[in-house]
Amino acid sequence: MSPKEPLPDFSDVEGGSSSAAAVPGASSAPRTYEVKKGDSLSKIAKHVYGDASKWRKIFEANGDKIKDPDKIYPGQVLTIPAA
Amino acid sequence: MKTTRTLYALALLAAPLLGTACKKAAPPPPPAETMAPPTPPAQPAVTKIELGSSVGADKRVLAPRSTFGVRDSIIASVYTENTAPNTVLTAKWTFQTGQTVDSTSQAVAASPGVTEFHIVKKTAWPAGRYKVEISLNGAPAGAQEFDVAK
Repeated sequence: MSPKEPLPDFSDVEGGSSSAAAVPGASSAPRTYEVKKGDSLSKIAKHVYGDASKWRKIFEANGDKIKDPDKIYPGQVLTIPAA
Repeated sequence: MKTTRTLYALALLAAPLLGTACKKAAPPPPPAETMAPPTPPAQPAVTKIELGSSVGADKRVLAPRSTFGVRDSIIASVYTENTAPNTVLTAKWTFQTGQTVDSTSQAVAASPGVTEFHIVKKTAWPAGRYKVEISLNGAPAGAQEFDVAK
């Protein structure tokens, strides 16, 4: 008889929620991300896609705002293409 | 003379009866206006559930996905319609073993509205399959499964 695997521990999980009015027509509008201090394209890609290597996707979608992928600034609002 | 008077009296008596008999039959009353059955109030509903790791100010997930890393925040954006001001949404997160990871309730801000539920874990998420079940005023309203991969 194989020993039973212990159940995972979820006691350190924190949950939360918030709600807002839906913006009319927003479901088809492009999604955006406001750059924060310390962000880089790869960090944003990791955050939104779970994959830092997808930074180029964000770079290409924001060609009008980003000339150098190493230079993004807090407050910049970037378009986030679908994963 | 007497006969004439009698005939005159009879004529007077018969006149109303003759009038009635000759009257054109009254047209049937118009049919009562048929009323359309009252439209039942639209039922509150969850129209979409999206999962991701970050949301905008509008509570919409930025890049929907269904696979997460062991260190990721996991967010569910729940889209609702026809909700009353006192409508409550609940998100119950469970692991493949059936264990409840978290359960959170939130009053819906507006109709239509978007409500985000999120879970974060200080240590790594166990890899495997998870599910978030959404209920609306206690009634099941939708669910979405996702994976956490190493």
